[in-house]
Amino acid sequence: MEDTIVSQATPTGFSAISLIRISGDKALTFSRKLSNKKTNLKHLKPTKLAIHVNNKKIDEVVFTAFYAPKSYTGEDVVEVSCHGNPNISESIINEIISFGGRLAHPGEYTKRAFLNGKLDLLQAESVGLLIKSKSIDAAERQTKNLLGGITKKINKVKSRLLFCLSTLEFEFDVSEEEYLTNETVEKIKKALKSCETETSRLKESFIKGHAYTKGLKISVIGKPNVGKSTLVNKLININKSITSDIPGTTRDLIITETTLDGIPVTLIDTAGIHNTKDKIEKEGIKRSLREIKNSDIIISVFTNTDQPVDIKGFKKQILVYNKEDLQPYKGTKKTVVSVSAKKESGLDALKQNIKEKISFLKTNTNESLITTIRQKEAVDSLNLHITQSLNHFTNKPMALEIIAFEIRTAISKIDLFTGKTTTNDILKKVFSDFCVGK
Amino acid sequence: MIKENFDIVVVGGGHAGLEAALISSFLGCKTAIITMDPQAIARMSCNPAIGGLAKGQIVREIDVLGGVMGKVADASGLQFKTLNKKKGRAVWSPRAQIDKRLYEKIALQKVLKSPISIIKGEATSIQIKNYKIRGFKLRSGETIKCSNGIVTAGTFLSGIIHIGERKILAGRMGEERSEGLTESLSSYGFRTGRLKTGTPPRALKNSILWTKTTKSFGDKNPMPFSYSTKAFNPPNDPCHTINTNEETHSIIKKNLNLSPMFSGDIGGIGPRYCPSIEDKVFKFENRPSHLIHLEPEWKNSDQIYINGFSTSLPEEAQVAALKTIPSLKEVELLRPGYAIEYDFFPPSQLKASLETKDVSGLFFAGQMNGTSGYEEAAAQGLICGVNAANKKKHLPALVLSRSSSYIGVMIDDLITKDTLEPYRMFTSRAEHRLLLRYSNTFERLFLCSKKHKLLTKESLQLFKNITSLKTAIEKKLDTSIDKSTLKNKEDISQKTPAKTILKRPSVSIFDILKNTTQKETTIPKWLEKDIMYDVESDIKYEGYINRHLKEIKQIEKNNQLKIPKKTNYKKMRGLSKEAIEKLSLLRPENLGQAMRIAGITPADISVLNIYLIK
Ligand SMILES: Cc1cc2nc3c(=O)[nH]c(=O)nc-3n(C[C@H](O)[C@H](O)[C@H](O)COP(=O)(O)OP(=O)(O)OC[C@H]3O[C@@H](n4cnc5c(N)ncnc54)[C@H](O)[C@@H]3O)c2cc1C
Ligand SMILES: Nc1nc2c(ncn2[C@@H]2O[C@H](COP(=O)(O)OP(=O)(O)O)[C@@H](O)[C@H]2O)c(=O)[nH]1
Ligand SMILES: [Mg+2]
Repeated sequence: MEDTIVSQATPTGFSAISLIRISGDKALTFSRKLSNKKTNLKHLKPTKLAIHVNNKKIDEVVFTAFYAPKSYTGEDVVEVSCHGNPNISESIINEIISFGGRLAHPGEYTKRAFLNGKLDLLQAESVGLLIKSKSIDAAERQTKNLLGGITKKINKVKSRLLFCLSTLEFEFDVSEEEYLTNETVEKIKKALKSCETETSRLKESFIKGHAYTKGLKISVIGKPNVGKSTLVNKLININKSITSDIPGTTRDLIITETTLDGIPVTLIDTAGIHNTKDKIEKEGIKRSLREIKNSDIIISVFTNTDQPVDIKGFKKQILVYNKEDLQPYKGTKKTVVSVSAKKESGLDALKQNIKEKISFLKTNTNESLITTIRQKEAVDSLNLHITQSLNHFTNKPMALEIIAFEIRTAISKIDLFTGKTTTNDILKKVFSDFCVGK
Repeated sequence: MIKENFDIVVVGGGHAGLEAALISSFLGCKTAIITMDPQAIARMSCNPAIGGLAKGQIVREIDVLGGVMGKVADASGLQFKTLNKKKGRAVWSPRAQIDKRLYEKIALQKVLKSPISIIKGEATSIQIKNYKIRGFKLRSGETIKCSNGIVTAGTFLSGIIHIGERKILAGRMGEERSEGLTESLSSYGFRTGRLKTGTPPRALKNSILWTKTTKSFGDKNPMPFSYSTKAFNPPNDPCHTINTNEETHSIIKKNLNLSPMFSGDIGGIGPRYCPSIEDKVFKFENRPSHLIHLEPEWKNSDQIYINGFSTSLPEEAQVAALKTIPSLKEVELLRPGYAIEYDFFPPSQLKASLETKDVSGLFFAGQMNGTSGYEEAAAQGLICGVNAANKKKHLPALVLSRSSSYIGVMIDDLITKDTLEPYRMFTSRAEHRLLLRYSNTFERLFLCSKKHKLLTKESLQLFKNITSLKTAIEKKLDTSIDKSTLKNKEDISQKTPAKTILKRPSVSIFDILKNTTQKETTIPKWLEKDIMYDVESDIKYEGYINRHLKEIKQIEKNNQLKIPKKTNYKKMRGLSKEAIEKLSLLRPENLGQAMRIAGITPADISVLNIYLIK
C-alpha cells in the first residue's frame, strides 16, 4: 500500500485561506480523526467542521472529499481549506503526520495520478509546466496538452504504425503467399509517410513549444557604455540594471523576465565586450559570450563612437543605434533601429522590430506543441525510425523484417513519449521539477 | 506388476513425450514411457506436416539441442519448402509435407533402439508426498514409481470430440480419452481449464477430380531441418490447391447454428490463429474465397487431408459445403472434420525449467500446457527431459533465454502470460527476431547443448566444424575484394574490404566468394551454402543486430535478479493491488519475468527492484 501523503497546496505565509491536501488510503480516516467526526465525508460535498488539536479548537475549516478513483491522484483525497495562518496549517499537517501520514515529495500527487492512470506522462508534464507558465498564452498551450491534445495526435500516429506492423506480421506469421502484393506495399508506405509528416511537424513544434515554456532569450550586447543597461531598463520599465558612465559597470549578466505579445521573454543585459585586465570583468565577458551563443535574438547596441560588436553567423540580430539625442544616425544601413534610451525615442519602433522577429512563434492555438527536452528527444527518434523504415522500401531485395523492426522501435518510442513505458530515471526526472503540493 | 523404480517416467507418447523420453534416456536416466497406445507413439493427430511459419525454426532448435524431430522429418518428408523466402531472411521458415506413417515408424524405432521401457496403460492418478512426486497409478491398479515425472497428455485429458451435435468421448479420433489424472492433479491444488482445437475432414483420393486442381511443389533445392542430414534428396511429391466459393460459404453460414463452437456447446477457447472454416467465413465475411490445400497423408495415400477446412459442422453439412467446389463435386469423406475439447493446466504454474512450482520432480509438457502444434510440444518435451535428468543428477536446469531461441520465447511467454487460448509460435512473439534466424541456430544453441551434454560425439564434432567454417569465411571477407567477380564494379576501390561491399543490399556473398576452399569434407554442400548465407546476414544486418544486443544486455541484468521463493508481496509497501494479486499468483522467479507479466507497471517493478537489492 502507498503511504498517505499530506502537504500544503497553497503558498506558505499569511493569506485569506490555505489549502491542505491529503491523498491515500487513509485520507478519510485521518480527516475523521482530525474533525472528531464519526461518519465519513461524502464525495464532492464540502463540509464545514471544527478542528481540535490538543483538545483546543484551533479553526473551523471546510473539508472536501474526493473518493478514489474520482480524484486527482486516483486515490482517496481530502482537501482541507483552513484560514490562512501558517501556524494553523502547520499544526494540521503535523496532526496528520502524527496519525501516520507523511509529507509529500515534490510532484508526488501528480506522480500518483500518472501511476494510477489518471494522466499520461505528457499530461503530467503539462501540469508542471502550467504552474510555471510565464504567460497566459503559454498557460493556454499547457492546458491544451493537459487535456490530451498531443496524446490524441500521437495515438493516431501509433494506430497507423500498428496497422503497418500488423500487416507485415500477418505476412510473416499467417499468410503463406510468396509475395506481398504491390497494393499492400503501397498501403503501408502511404501510412508511414503520413506518420512521417505528422511527426516532423511535431518535431519542428519544439522550437515554439520550448520558447513558450522556457521563454525566448534576448541578449543585449555591445561595447561598454553604449547604453545597454539603460535600454534594457527602458524596455521593461523598471530599474534593475545598474547604469553608470564608468565603462564596465555591468560585470555580470542581469536577467529579467517579461512578456512580449504573450510570449515569455528573458532579457539579458550583458557585460560590455572589450579588452580588460580586470579579472572579474573578464569572467563576466566570458559568460556574456556564452550566453550570446545560446540566445534566440541579439540586440546589438552601438553609438556614434562605438562600433557594433560583431557576432559572426548569428541570424536573428537587431542593430540598435543609441544616443541619437546626441547625434542622429547618419549611416545607410536600413535595418538599423535608431533610438535614444535615455530620452526614450525610437523605442516603439524597436519593440515592433523585436515582435516581428519573434512572430514566428505566433501560431494558431490549435497547433500542438511539444515543450520539454524529454518530449523532443522521444519525437526525434520516433521520426528517425519512421524515416528509416521508409528508406528500406527502396532496397532490392526488400527486407520486410527490418522494416518491421524499425516500426516496432518507432512504436516503442511513442510509448516512451506518452509514458506508457517508462524507466525509473525518466519518472524521477519528470517529477522532480515539481513543487510540493502538486 | 512392475516393481522397478524409474529415474524418469513420461506419461504420454506424443511429440512431447517422445523427445522427453529419448533425451533423458540419452542422458543416462532410467526412463519409462506410459502410454495408452504404444502403436501411436509420435502420432501426428492433425496435419501431415512439420515446420512452417515460426515452427520450422523450432524444429531446427530442437535439432541442435539433441532432439529427434528434425531428423525424423528429414527422413519422412514428401516435399520441402522454405516459406517467407521473399519476405526477409530472418523470417525464413522451412516446412515439410510428411508421410505420417513413416514418421511414426521411424520414431518408434528410435524408442525401441533405446533402453526406454514402454508401459502400455493409462495413468489415472499421481502420487505426491511432501511436495515431491513419488509415482503414477495406472487404471490397471499398478503403481509406477519414479523420482521425476513428465506429464505430456496432449488432447487426451477428459477429451470430448464434437461433430455437429454429436459428441464422442475420446482423446482423438479412434483413441480413448484419459480420465482421472486431471482430478488427481487438481486435488493437489493445480488449476485447470478447458481448451479446444479442430481438424479438417479427410477425403478419399479417388473421389477427387484432380484435373480441376492446381499442383503445388516444394523447393527445387530443398533444405533439411537437421544439421546432421548429409545426403538430402527428398521426393518432391505435389500437393494441390483449390478454392472455396460463395456457395460454399452460404452453406456454412446456413449451418452455423449446428456448429458446437457457435452454438456455445464447447466451453473451451479455440485457437484464433488456426481458425475453423466457420470462423473464417464468419470473420472475413467479404472474402469471396479461401484457399484450400489437398495434402497426401503418406506416400501414395488414398487419404487426403483437406488443409484449411478445419470444422465441427455436422458431417452432412461438411460434405454439402465441400461439394460446391468443382474438384470435390463427388467427394467422399473417409473421416469428417471434428473439434476436440480437453483439459489444460495454465502454464504459469511452471518454472522456466517446466518443473511445476509446487511439486518437486513433476514436469508438464505439450498441448496440456495450453500450446498447439507438434513442434511446440516436442520442444517442451525436450526441455522437460533435459531438466528432469539434470534434476536427478543435481545439475542446474536448462533455461533458454528469449534472445537465444524461439523455444526460450515460448516458455517465457507460457510461464509469464497465463494464456487463455491455445498458444502457437509466431515470429512476431520474438522481440529479438533478427537474431533468431534459421541459419544461425547452431551458433545460438550449440554451447548450451555442449554444456548440458545433449549431443553425440559425432554431432559435437559436426558443430565444431561448422563453427570453424563460419569463422574461416568471415576471415576471408576481411580482406579486400577481387573486383572482377562483381557485376557492378564502377565505384568500388581496389582496397575496400569485402565486408563493406557486402553491406550493399544488391551484393550477395555468392558474388564475392565462389567457394570457401573448405578442407573439411564433413560439411555437406547444402550446409556450406547455409553458413555462407548466415555470414552474409550477420554482415548485412550488423547495425540492427547490435541494437538488439544492446537491449539484451539490459534485460539480462533483470533476469539475473532472483526473487526468493517465499516472497510475501502483500507486505511490500508501494505495490499496486493488481501487482500484489498477479505476483502472488504467478510467483516469478526473477525480475525479468515479473516485468513481462501483463498488468505489472514500471512503478511496481521499481518497488520490487528496491526490495530485491536491499
Ligand atoms: C483434433 C485435433 C486437431 C489438432 N489441430 C491442430 C492444428 O490445427 N494445428 C496444430 O498445430 N496442432 C493441432 N493439433 C495438435 C497437435 O496434434 C498437438 O499439438 C500435438 O500432437 C501435441 O503433442 P503432445 O505430445 O502434447 O500430445 P499428443 O500428441 O496429443 O499426445 C498425447 C499422448 O499422451 C497419451 N496419454 C494421454 N493421457 C494419458 C494417460 N493418462 N496415461 C497414459 N498416456 C496418456 C496419449 O495416448 C498420447 O500418446 C490437433 C490435435 C487434435 C487432436
Ligand atoms: N545621451 C544619452 N546618454 C545615454 C543614452 N543611453 C545611455 N546613456 C548614458 O550612457 C551611460 C552608460 O550607460 P549604461 O546603460 O550603463 O551603458 P552600458 O555599459 O552599455 O550598460 C550612462 O551614463 C547613461 O546615462 C542615450 O540614449 N543618450
Ligand atoms: Mg551595463
